[in-house]
Amino acid sequence: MSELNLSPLRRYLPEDLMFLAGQPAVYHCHHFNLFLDQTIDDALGPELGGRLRTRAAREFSHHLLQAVCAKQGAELPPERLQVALELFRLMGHGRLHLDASPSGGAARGTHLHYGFAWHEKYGQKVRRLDPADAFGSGYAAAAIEVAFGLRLGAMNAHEQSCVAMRAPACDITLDATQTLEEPRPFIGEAEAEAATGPAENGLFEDIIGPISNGLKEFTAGVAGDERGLVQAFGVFVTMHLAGYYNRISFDALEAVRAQSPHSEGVLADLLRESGHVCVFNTFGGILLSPEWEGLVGPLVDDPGQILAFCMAMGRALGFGRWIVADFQPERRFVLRTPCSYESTYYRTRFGIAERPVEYFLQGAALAMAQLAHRVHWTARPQLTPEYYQQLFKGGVPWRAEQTRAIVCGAPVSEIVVTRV
Amino acid sequence: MSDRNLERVVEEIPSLRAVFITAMPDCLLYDSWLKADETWTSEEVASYFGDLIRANREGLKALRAWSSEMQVTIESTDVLLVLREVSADFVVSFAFARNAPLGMVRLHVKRALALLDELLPKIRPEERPRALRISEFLTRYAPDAHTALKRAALRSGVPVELLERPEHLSVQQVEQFERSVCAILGLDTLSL
Amino acid sequence: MLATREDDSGGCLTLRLAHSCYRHLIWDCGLVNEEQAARLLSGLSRRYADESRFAWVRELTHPDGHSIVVVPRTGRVQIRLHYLTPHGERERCARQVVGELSAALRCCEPV
Repeated sequence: MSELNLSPLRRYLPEDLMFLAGQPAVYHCHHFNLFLDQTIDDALGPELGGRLRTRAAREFSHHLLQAVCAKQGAELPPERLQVALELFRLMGHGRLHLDASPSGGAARGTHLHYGFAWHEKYGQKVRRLDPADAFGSGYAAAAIEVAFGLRLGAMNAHEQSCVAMRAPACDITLDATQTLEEPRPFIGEAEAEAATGPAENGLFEDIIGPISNGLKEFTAGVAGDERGLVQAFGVFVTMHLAGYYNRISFDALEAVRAQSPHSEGVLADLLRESGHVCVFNTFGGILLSPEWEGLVGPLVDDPGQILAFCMAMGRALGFGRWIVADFQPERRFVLRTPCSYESTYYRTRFGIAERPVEYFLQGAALAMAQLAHRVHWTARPQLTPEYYQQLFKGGVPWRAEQTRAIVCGAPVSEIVVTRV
Repeated sequence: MSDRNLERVVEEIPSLRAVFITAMPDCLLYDSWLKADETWTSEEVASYFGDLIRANREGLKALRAWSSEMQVTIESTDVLLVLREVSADFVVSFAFARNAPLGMVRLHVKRALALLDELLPKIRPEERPRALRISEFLTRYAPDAHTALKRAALRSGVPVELLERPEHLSVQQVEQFERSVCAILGLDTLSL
Repeated sequence: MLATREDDSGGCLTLRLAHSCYRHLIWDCGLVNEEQAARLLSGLSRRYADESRFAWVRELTHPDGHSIVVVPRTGRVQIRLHYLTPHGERERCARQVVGELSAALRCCEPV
């Protein structure tokens, strides 16, 4: 069995969607991860929300682990468990210790990304009443399923104690179940290609391409430390499964639509907000890093350049081949892409939509316009929660409208951001 | 308080940097005095001090150690704070320079409070709707405050447009709203 | 009081708390010029392990696990303290490392 390394398992489509052993994957920071999970729990309540998040984690981790174990030649249960735990650590999700058989058992997590990061970010402000590590729990269940050749959904997981609730470690129980979930359509590279439009070039392409390639080369070597955490760009980074984000978002939307349709708009708003959170913290953190300065040079306060940089980062993080289709300083910015992780998932699982549903993309585009025009980058600001509030509270002077959407049958998705 | 009354009471107190008077139970700023070079925002400070005194009162009551004479002294790196309830309606907070001698501070606080007790109105301010106070409490303490109302709307099922005008909520909606705020802040109850 | 603004730290390098979510683990030093950056890297080479993956951003590891990141083209120097550094010790530790960096710069000054 060969030593596990993320880099050879990672592949970008020419349209810049990223895959890890054939599973759609992206890089996202703890701010985004926590905000999205919180939104799901706000929408469904902590019990249903936690259950959905655990199941989503189990589903996509199961597919990932099957593929990685096959690639690594891990055939026996101990080998497969070893691969699973090491992969979890390398992806920046923390350390898991498993003590389970096909009939169940327990998992213990230390430095699990969600619980640890929640405690770091919010632990001194509010008390958490429910565990935070549904992703780690679902992953642990999938690890047992794959290790012992069980079907997807054969193992249930439930986090009993969590560092976010001030426990010393995260303890997860694993139980075998006979109630399997309905199988859902698989999403891999072929499905993504089928939902991808033609690649185009936009403005600033001479800047975007080389930076994006440099960043991809840099992130190829990014992996969890001995704790299983990735400290980079001032945040805690994870390589994460896009299917997890998508399933929890779209299933929550469906549930809210069915139970309290008047809340659907608020949920969509908060999913857009997750795009603001990502761009402010991850993109901002990358721009302010010495790594960026070494690769690109010192920052300048030029909105066009900052937007070009955002396109490069979006591509390198695996979000798709983002282009600047149009830009007029202080007036208009048009982001276009032939694919997105949201549209790939939606088209594969739900088909054509009546209206655009790429909420993350919509929020990200709006946040990019705000950051490009309103942040004094050369002063190297501290990207604090207070600064975030200052930039985004009470609405921003921009409006984002999705004018074309792959989910609605268009060949590309396009967000037009205009000054209000 | 009429113009300059507070100033007249406190302006001669050595090492005093600011005084904030918080109207209870709403934790709203009633009046303040700041030394010319201070840049604090009185409205922000006043509400936190009101909450602090309320939490302190509840904690002492739980210990069966509360008395109306209680006074909170905080020695931080840069400032020496003395907080004191004046009747059930007001909390007065004095912020002194950190190096001010504690004995001198206590003496001046006692004298100033005696004068303020005469000047502050005795009529209890009209209590504002509970929903409004819940909303203010949420905005004050929720992480990512600008999304807090939307989060409460999702959790409570009460449309965000209604939560934006909390004074018009029905009794049932207020209960739902309060439960959602407790959940967001990780609290069993809201002490308002 | 933490050094959240430019602060003289005994030597030619200054210290400023950098942006991060890691509670005072990341510190920016004042800029050095290109020639000083080269000298700094050379001066640190005996005590620090060079773990650079790219020529455009050099990363050296202190025996105590702290990292020094140097951007040769701009002279930016950043100290990344090891995460096990106790909270209360972080600023003192950053000052100690910046002192070592300043000393390395001084002792490698061209004659």
